[in-house]
Amino acid sequence: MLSVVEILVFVALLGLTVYGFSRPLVMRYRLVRLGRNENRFDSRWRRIVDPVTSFFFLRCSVKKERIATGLIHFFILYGSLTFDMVSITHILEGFKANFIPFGHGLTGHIWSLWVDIFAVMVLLAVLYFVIRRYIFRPDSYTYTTLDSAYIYLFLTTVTATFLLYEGGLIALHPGHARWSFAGTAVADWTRVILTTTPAMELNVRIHWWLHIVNVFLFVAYVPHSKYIHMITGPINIAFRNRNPVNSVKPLDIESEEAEVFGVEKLTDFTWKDLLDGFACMDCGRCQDYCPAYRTEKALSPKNIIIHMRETLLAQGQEHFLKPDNGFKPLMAGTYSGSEIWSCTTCGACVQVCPVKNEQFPKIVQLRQSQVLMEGTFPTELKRVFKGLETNANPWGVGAATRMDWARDLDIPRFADHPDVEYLLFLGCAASFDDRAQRVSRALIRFLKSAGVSFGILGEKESCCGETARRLGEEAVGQTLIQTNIELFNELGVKKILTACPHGYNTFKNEYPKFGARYEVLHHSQLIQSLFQQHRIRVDAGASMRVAVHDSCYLGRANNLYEPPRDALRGVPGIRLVEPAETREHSFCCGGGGGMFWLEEEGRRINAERWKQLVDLKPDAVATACPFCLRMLEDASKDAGQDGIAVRDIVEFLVSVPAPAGTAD
Amino acid sequence: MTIVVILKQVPDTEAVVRPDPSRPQGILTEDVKFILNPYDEFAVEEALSIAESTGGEVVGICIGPAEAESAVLTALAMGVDRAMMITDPGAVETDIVTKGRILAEAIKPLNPSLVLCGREWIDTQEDALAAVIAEYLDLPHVGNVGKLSVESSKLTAVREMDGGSLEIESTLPAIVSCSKDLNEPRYPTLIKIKRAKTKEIKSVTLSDLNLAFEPPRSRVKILSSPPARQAGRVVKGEPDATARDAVAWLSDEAKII
Repeated sequence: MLSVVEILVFVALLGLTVYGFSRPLVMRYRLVRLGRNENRFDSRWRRIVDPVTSFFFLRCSVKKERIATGLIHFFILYGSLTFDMVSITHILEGFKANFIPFGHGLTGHIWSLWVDIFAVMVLLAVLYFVIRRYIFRPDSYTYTTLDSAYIYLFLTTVTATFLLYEGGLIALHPGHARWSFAGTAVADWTRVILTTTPAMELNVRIHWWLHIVNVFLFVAYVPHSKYIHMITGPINIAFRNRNPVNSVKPLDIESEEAEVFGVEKLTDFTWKDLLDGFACMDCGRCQDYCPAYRTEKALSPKNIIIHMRETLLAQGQEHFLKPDNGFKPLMAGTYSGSEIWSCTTCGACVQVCPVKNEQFPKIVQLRQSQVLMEGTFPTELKRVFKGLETNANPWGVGAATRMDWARDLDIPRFADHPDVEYLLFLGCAASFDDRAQRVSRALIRFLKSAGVSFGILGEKESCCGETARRLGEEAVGQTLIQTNIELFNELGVKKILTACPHGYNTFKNEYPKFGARYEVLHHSQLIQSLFQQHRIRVDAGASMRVAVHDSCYLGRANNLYEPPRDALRGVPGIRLVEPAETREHSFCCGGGGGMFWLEEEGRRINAERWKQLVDLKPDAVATACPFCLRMLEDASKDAGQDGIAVRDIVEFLVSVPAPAGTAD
Repeated sequence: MTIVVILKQVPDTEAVVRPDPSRPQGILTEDVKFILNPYDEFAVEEALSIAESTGGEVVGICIGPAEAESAVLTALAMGVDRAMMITDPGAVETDIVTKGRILAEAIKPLNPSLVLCGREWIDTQEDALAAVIAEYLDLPHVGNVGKLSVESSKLTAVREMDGGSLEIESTLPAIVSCSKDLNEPRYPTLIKIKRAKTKEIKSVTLSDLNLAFEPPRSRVKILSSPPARQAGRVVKGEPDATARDAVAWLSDEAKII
């Protein structure tokens, strides 16, 4: 039982703890509210269910990446929940003499066992984390190591003081033990050290206080640190992006009031963007899977989030003190050009983030302000933007020459045959890149022989807008989209077939935001369904080991992993082999996000991916994207390994003679 | 310091330009994109960076049809302060000497310290404009400049030539034509394009300049495309035989060897 003085001290400490805990939370809430508005209140039911299941089943961290750490988190989570309960019973024990949590019945026995199991498990989990972070020191954990040290210390002291208190209590009243195996062991030691009852009573009192003080310190510390993710993580999951992963939010470029296009300073981010900063626990999974970071570029998606958070804490709190102080441009101090201009928008960061942070979409928004406001970007891009603006393709080659590669082919035009089923949207790569042109030849031969009814736009085809939008040139991107929509509507297009995952993603996930919905099919899906319907058959060829490379825009962005594989499985003789990083963990070819057009700094991403594929000792590498095809074929040549053919899936189904005048 | 930049609209460098059968001196404009003459972009960039360091106004002047406004808007979006457009058919469809004279009259009241223009028009490949204006305004002329620095009363320019370069000094005011080595023209951003739409584009007529229409003394009579390239010939077979075939064809039929 506590004395009156002790009760007063306890109440004072409790008050301080409540203040220490709520003050940073309120501050962070105010900071997040500095962001722009964004509606994240659709599909409310899922927004309630998802965070709850993520929290209790740890769907956030128990994923393929770092499975051991994820599982060990169970002990930390359920240990924490257990000790939340223990804190309540602990206080009650202080206020009520002889209070025994859950009594002497079965419930009490189970409770005593449960608490001890988790006390031990939490200590073991901390040991695992300490060894991992401070002895093995993986690259992903090089940040906020002090935060982690504090939390490990608190977890240890809270658990240890509890065990010492429990053991002391059992030493005094052996009947309290029930199934407390750890408490009983501590009690045995206590009896060895302390022999008199007053000494043992004092021991219990001291450890009661030590435990509760540690609990209070822990509670007050959490919201100051990255461990706020216990609270913000589930909230962030609740407000996660429920739209397609890789779809650039349309900017209102017509707006006459807008002072800023894209994100120039912190307050141009939405509240959800800012919330990401406080949900991040610096785990570094995004960084582990980032192709730019892995090839020693300046970019780490983790730092995009962490540096935003640090700037928000610094500039935001200053703003509350002196509201006249404006926010500084993010590109002056927070981020660098080499960071934002090395992202391939592959989406791996978003894919692996346990709290569903949106790392790369922030980069696209930063690019928008750089391009639309400042005109500051790598010089190579000016040609790309001008090419898109005047000739509707990033190569900048004359729009009128778009079909020059197919002069010898007789391809039906959609405008002449409006009753055909599909508009075959070839795309810029398929029209202007000599390697991708050969895929187009194979595709057209395939479609004709499979009896698919299709037509093309010919010279009227314009870029789908993908590259421009990912490079932040929203004005050019939207102009291209509007041009296409007008033409599609005029021609009555309903189904779009394309061999380019970038076009696929744009038509499927971005055009609807501009009011244009079409049924969009990637050629791998068409081939897959033709096989399934037994409408096509491929003669047996030589047996072949084929390594599969997933395109980010087909896989992660649209969850299409099976169609390209099914297309290849339809060819007798082909045996598929998968690199270690495949499907949702596929390593980017390096060509996405407009990076195809930029000089790469440091080691090359395509070379890195090529190594992974070549390790499988394949006879050929299969892709379903013209950009992946080009990047990987270039890598094969750079490595002197062009004996291993890189082919589009359709090229495994039909062989096409090289057009006259090209080397094959 | 007032700087004048001469602007012209031209078909895009990548455009496939075809003669108009109904108008032998004109081209088919359908499906052809028009841009600001790329050399004029270097002139605009140079004018803007000089004005940024010395202070002053940059004025664009363009002779061209009403549609040429998009090229003027490009220059305004890059940062040119205001522009004048001369759309009289008598000015648009005349020879380069007359155009120079009209431009000289338009420039005169502005009393600029510097007049800049592109070293040539990429469509008709004419490069005499700067010299013509210099003649009418009685100004020093430095052509095809790849490097330029301007002080209060003089300029120093560098012209690259085969096997060397010339450093040229001139008094101000002067007229300079710009080459592509001069700078990297800035990108007209969305925000600047929006602001450009609010800038002044003053329409100027020949009568405003106290000029009367004069029929051009030289004019384009016929515009024609180069003859289409002949199809190549592929020789197939064993190396020994194909080599013999190729040599036989080159000497007997093509009469090249």
